[in-house]
Amino acid sequence: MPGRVTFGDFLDGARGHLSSGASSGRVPTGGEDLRDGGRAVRRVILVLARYAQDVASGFGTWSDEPRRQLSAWDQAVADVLDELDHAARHLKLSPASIRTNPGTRPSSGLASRMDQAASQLRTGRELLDTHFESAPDGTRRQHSEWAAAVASPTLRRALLAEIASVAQQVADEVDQAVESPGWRGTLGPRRALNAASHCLRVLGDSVLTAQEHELVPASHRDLLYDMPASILPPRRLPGHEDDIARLRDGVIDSAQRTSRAIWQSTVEPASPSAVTITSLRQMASYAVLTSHHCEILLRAAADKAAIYFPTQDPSHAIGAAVDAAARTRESWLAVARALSHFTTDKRGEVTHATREADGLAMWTGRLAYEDPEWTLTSGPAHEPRSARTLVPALADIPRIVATVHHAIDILEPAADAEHDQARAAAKDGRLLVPTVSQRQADSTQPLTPAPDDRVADLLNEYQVAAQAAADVTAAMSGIAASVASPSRVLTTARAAAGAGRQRHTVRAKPETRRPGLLETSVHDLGVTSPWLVQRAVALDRASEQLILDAAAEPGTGYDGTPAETLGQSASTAAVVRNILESADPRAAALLQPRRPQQELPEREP
Amino acid sequence: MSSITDAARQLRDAADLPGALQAARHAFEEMLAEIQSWQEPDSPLFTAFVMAAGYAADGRDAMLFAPSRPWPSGQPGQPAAARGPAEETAEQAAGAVVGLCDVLVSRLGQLAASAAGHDDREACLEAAKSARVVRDLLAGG
Repeated sequence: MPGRVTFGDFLDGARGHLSSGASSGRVPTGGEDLRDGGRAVRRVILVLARYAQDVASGFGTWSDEPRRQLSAWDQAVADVLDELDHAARHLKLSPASIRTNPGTRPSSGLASRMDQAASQLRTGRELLDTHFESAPDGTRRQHSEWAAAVASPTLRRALLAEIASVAQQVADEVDQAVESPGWRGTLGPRRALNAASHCLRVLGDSVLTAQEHELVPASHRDLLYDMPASILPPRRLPGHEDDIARLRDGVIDSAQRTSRAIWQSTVEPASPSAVTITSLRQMASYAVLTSHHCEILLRAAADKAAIYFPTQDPSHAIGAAVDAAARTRESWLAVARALSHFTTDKRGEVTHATREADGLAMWTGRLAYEDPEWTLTSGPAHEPRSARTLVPALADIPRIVATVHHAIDILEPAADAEHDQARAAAKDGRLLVPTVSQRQADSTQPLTPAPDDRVADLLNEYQVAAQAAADVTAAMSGIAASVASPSRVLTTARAAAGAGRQRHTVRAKPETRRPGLLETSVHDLGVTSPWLVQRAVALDRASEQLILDAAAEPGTGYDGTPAETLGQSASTAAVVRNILESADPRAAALLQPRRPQQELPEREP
Repeated sequence: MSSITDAARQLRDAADLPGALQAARHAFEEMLAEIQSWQEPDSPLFTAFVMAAGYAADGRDAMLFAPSRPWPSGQPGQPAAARGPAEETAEQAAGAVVGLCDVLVSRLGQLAASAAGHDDREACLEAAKSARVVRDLLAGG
């Protein structure tokens, strides 16, 4: 995360203050008041106890539920809470004792360091807390796309392990302070500090036991350290003077903003009446272009990887990711084309997520193309940047991989969110198609709610796009791990969040379809161009549509001849076969003889 | 005569408001089909064609909502998917679409000035705006 403060910054800061005494071997100067130090240690312990409560309650997002069996980690959480409580109680010195130790001077060593550590820890906790918020009814809920990961069992374990580790450091400091001859204090504070130190070590043992049962993976600790605050970087547009490094940072910032907007649209979906075809179309276009730009960037990375890792996996993996990005582009293009057949009663307005996706397409394009003034509306003919410019050194491969990974990572949730919006609009009767015949026009309106089969086709295209995006994201995750890209935390976060949540949409397997006549012919000719294949598919579908429309037309001469014998040639038979295998309810009409028109009874004389 | 040129001619020749609105709708449909036919990633026009398709569909939609447009149109429901490119190269297609946009901008401007109904005027203005964007995208920004 370019330039963003993370939780690890504060944890490291706290550790730095805690280690500056004991680890440095500095001998206390003497004469300092042990009770000052004791009170400061207690303040650290109270912050640690609040962390432990966060761990126990999932940052307040869920209440305790009775469990059949406590895991080692559940036991560790309970032990940590208990021991921190005991330690804090030991250090709760009575105000009266302060006056009974005249002649001492305020602690400038232990207490000062403890106070600074407590301050860092408090700020770190506030950072994690930014991912949650209070609902109007007082309950706690998630406030960012990271929240599910932060509240996940694995991240909470990682946090508990860090709490225990910090507690050990505090215990080390306390032990040294208590044993140092230069310190002044009555027996009470000295004993209290000893007892508190003992509690801190006991809780460490409990967490160690849990670790022996189920180790916290290093990747989860890394994710905890890399966790940013929920506050997003400000929206900005690329400048003409931005160099490659700034453009990379801009892509990542924009991807984070887009990711948040999509997440928000998922947790608080807009009313179906707010869905506009304008927004759906624009999102699809931006997803096409973002995929396209990522493909260009990955191609450059693949060229360089082939030089730096000629026989190793990263080179092949990046090459495979180029193809996966191309498939994602094609699948989003299919969504965009499908959307061109629909409209909505309300048009013009676009969602926050679509506006952010506009920015991401712009940033990725500015990075992919040489022209420093490139925009989405610049028009034709722009040269992609060379691999030499984009990836001048080996160290730049993880950087460009991280950039693409962040951009690609939004495409699957975008497809899911847009799918849900389109489905909601269709369910509400607001996804419209032109009324093309009196037969279709039961209503008196020039536009009519889209028929179910066409809505199903559209939703299927979204599902295909989501699957393609999931595939390229998985490819990027593998590459990020193999080249040690900083973006590998995205993979960990997704895995952690996935363990604790259910997908809001269940991806149906894309409709299986027998290739049509033209598609088969194109394949037989050895054509591999996705564009040409897509055109062949479109023409096959149009042929099927024509036969269905013709069969349903009143006054046609169709007499119910079995569909297989409708065509005298293999070509028409193939079209009819595909219709029969489709989910189109009108296909059944091809198999049923039309009932002869009932003759009117002759009027009796 | 290509379907794009033919659509431009129909739009110029339309005698009355309903006919002109229907011709404009047809022109946007033809434009959309042509644009989608040329969305090839290797083409230098790829970004322009991807962006232009959405605006062409927006223009078509504006015409669909014009109250004086006659309906049902009798046109097939999915014309864009049903035909290949009318022009021989992406550059020629872009040029033809730009020419059609010029006709649309001019004709829709006239209709917006003369239509009696508010909603017809608004629809023409909205569609003309879409045509201008498509023209600018494909003409080079």
